Amino acid sequence: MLKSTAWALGGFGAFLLCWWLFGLSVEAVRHIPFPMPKDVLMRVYLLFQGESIYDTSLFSHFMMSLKRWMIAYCIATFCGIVLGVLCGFFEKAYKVGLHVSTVLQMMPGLAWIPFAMILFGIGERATLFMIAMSAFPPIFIHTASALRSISPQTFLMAKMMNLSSRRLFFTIIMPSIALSLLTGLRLGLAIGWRVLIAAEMVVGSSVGLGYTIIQSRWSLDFEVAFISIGLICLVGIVAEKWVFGVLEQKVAKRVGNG
Amino acid sequence: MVELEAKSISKAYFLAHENRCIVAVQKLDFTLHVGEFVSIVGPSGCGKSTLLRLFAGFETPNSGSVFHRGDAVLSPHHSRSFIPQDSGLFAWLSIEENVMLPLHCSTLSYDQKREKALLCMEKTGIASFAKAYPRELSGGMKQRAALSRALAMESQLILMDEPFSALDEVSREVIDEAMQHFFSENRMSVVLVTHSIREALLLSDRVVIMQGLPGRISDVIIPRTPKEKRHKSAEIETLYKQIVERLKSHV
Repeated sequence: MLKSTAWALGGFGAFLLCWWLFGLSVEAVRHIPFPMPKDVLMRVYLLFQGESIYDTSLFSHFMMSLKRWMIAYCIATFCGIVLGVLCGFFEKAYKVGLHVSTVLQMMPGLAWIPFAMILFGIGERATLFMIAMSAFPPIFIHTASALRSISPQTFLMAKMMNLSSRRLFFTIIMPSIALSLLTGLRLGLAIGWRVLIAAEMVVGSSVGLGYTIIQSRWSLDFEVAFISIGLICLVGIVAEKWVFGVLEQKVAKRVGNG
Repeated sequence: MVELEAKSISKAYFLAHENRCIVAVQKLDFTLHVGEFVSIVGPSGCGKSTLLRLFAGFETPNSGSVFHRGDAVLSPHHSRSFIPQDSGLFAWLSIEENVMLPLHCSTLSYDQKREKALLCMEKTGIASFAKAYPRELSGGMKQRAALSRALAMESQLILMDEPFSALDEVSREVIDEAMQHFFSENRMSVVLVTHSIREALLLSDRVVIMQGLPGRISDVIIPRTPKEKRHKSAEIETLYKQIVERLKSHV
């Protein structure tokens, strides 16, 4: 424990050193001020003391982004799993669904802007639409493909044992697709987060981490942009390492692949 | 009384990549009586496993019919227990949960189901591994667990597809002995597909020799020596050589 803490602190120190050296180099070459670790950390302290960014606290910006992300992600997860299960069970629906979702997956998140604006105008719902549309394909594809890949013998064995549909779904099917589904959820979450920031920059309202980053272009308050980027990375690390990392380990162990 | 009857069944598969059909089983007739133990031997690819899957209702014949106790076999049913080569256990369920699985359709309470599953596991000698997961057990133990599940299903017909192919000779002999005792005690009808001629001769009332392709029965051997005396029987040695010679001519 002590050793890992020392490594983490050492790593953080090395990161700050690299950042500082990089900042010095940029200032020397470009002759413009670069947000240094000391200034950014001081700004973080002030923000925690109650200083606002564009009339809103850092906490509100952060929570607003999280809220948008979660709502849109839940919509994408629900649609992805329901349609994925449907297409996983029906051959023709799978063929159509796979083509459609492959096309959707190829769409860059920001390419949804015109559709979002036509359908919902500028604002909250357009942002949610963009996130949901981007997070949906990996969840859908992984659910449907995992279902298609279950051996037909599994279903025949279940029939032989006279299992009810409910038990078949929860005891046999769900564990069979759990790992693949988790990969889809993981990808969907990451893509959704990236698109959220981009969507907030373009069609979002005046609150959110993406908004603070895009606003720094005009206010030249790059310290705030750096803090927002730091928070974005932090959310990514938490989701990846502490949520999906742990979940994947547990599921893999449970379904016999760990 | 007839347990299982196949009347002129045929099964062909279309090989898309070769654009041709192969006939795995052709106009085959087969009868299994209640309490009988029949083994099917034959060269690889002669249609043994296909035949077993047809008996289990895991495949449907292109022509002909299979009857189990007078009823047409159209799909899998809990009255017929099929044990595939890989034992068919679900990796994420413990042995106890695997054995309990077919009991969930019954009206028993959870405790009664557990009790029954434990009893079935005791009969096959794996009760002490009830909480273990399939990945933690050896091949033989997994097959015992699959047998326990078959017992929990209360199937009178057991269909086993090369269940002990991954085991060494000694473990196989130990399990064979336990199996023989177990099946005769419970008066179960068994069809065993195996590559081991010796195993077939030691366990079976009849040994069916198949040849392919197309898969059909070429011979039926009936050992006369009682099962408990077969280990050192000269008849078994003679029959063994006879079957090997016949199989060689088919390869």
